[in-house]
Amino acid sequence: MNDTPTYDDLKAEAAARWRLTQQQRDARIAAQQAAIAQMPDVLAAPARNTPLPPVLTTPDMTCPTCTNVHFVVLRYGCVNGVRDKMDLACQQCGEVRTWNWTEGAWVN
Amino acid sequence: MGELKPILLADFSGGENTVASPHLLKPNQSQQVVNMLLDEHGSLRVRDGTLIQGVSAPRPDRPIVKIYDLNLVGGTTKPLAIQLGTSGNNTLWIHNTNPWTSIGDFSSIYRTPDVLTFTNLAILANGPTEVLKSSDGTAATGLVALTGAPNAAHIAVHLGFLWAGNTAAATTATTGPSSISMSDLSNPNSWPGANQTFVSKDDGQSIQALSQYTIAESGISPTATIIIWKDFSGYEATGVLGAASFSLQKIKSDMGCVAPRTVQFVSGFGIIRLTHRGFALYDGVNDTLISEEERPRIFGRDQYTGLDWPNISRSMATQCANPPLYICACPISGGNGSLQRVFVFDLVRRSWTVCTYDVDLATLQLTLNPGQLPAVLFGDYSEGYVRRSFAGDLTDDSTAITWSILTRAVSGGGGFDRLYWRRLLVKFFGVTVTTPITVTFFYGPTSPVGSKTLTVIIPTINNLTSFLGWGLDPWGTSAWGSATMTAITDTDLEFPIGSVANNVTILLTGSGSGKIRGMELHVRQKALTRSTVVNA
Repeated sequence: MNDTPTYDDLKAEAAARWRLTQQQRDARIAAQQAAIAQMPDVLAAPARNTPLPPVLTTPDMTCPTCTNVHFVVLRYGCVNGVRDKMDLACQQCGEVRTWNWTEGAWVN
Repeated sequence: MGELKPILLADFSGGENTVASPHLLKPNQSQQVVNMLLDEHGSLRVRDGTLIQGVSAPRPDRPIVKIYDLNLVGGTTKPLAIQLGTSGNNTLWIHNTNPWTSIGDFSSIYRTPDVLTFTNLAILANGPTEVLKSSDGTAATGLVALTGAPNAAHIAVHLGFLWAGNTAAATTATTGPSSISMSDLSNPNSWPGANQTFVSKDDGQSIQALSQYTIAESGISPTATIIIWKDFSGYEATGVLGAASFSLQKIKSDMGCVAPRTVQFVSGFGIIRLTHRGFALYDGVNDTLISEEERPRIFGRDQYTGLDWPNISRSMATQCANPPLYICACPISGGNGSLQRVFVFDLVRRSWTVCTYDVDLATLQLTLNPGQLPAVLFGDYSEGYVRRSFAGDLTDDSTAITWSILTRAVSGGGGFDRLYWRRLLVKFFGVTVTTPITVTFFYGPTSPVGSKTLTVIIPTINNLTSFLGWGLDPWGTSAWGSATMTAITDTDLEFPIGSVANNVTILLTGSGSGKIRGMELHVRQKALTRSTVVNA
């Protein structure tokens, strides 16, 4: 009666298109993640709950409460492989604060 | 004199196309299709009606801006609704009690609140000026502010963490319209400082929505990304905040999202939302504009009123499983701010139709309750009811549904050769007897007698009770002679035309439920000559 595809044809076409785009998407994300994993800040990322020697930090990074310079890294966050923020616990007073690498300052 | 020949319009699966010339529409497209769905392949079905659920809100004049079913561990469901503050702030209700039960008032007025389930609680985002709150669905507990949580306009659960976006109207060191924050794992009351970053900080846009590749608003996403939509851009975040592997990549598109609650992930298709260029579909690779056929209804042109762009953020979308549809309700220019035009996108056919409702709407929501079919619920703008829709109801709460279809300009060949148009036959299915069907023929080219209107009543059919045959059973599954059908509801109506014209456009209108399965025009070729219209 007409040449238009059937509903099943359209469903199969949509499913095939979806499979293809998801494969492409997965490949793109995997390539991104592989590249990010090789970024210097990512390679240098300390493991969680690791004591951070002060010589590896900026001279400004002192605890605003007790002026101690020894911290434990609770979280170390990067965005696209570049260090962004980290949560540090002061080894002396135990205060937890967030350091902003971009600003070079405490966030709170 | 030659014999009459048929011109068949039996496939409407292309939906409506309001942007192309009526002469250039595809054979399966129509100029307008209102209050009909492309359900049965090829035919048009009158859209589902609505049915009021429960009683009206105590203050029916307040728009219901969010409906959400909180499914608790143990199987209890708390049907929640948020009403917009008019003389006070937004209010959270349980809407299946009589009267509705107030859980508590928010501390601000916000038109597009967001709700999801996390750690057996409803998490409520009431805008960037109010801290995230939780509710266990009881009035006794009320609304509880989350400890250490940011304000948020948008929330999502992703990889077991609660994410918040657009956390303040102005940018500070840790919040702002471009800020995203993330809670601790499975703990909405712990928000570490490192779990925050900005998405293109202060670029003149704000975060409009967070969306994932998962249909439910809670749970683990099949792919570890969350999409962050800003006004004119989109970003795909991989991993979690506060980790070295987190990445944030801009989507290759100039489209973002202008209406936060129009974002819907549709499994097998991608993420659809309303952008400044119309509706767009992001499938993880390509971001494609899908609403070109509806551009006049979106932006306004010729006889079409566009959408109310100053209030476009009020638009709400949902989806329907049967048939698979993306449904988006939008305010229209010159309207009262309610959602008066409902765009319906058939995902498989990639075709549009449009629906209207007599009642003004304020929200749409797909509710997903264990052990039940998904249900689409509407929230009223000014009558205070929650209504069910897309559930097979035949009327809008006892009011017949008015529908119409305006076909393409039908011609014999190129649109310039004259034909004698004898009659139109229309095949209906399931239309109630005595329903009046009105057809208006518009002849081309324009002439002093440019149209003709006829009304025909669907005749009463003598039902054939329990006749014998194969009926609807698959051939071979029952012996011939089984009682299979109790009624014949297929009806062919004739509309005489009796005109000579180059082309004819048909406006078919009616009310009530049913299907249109096809139209057939009977025509005779006339000698080729100058373009003229001669009416009988």
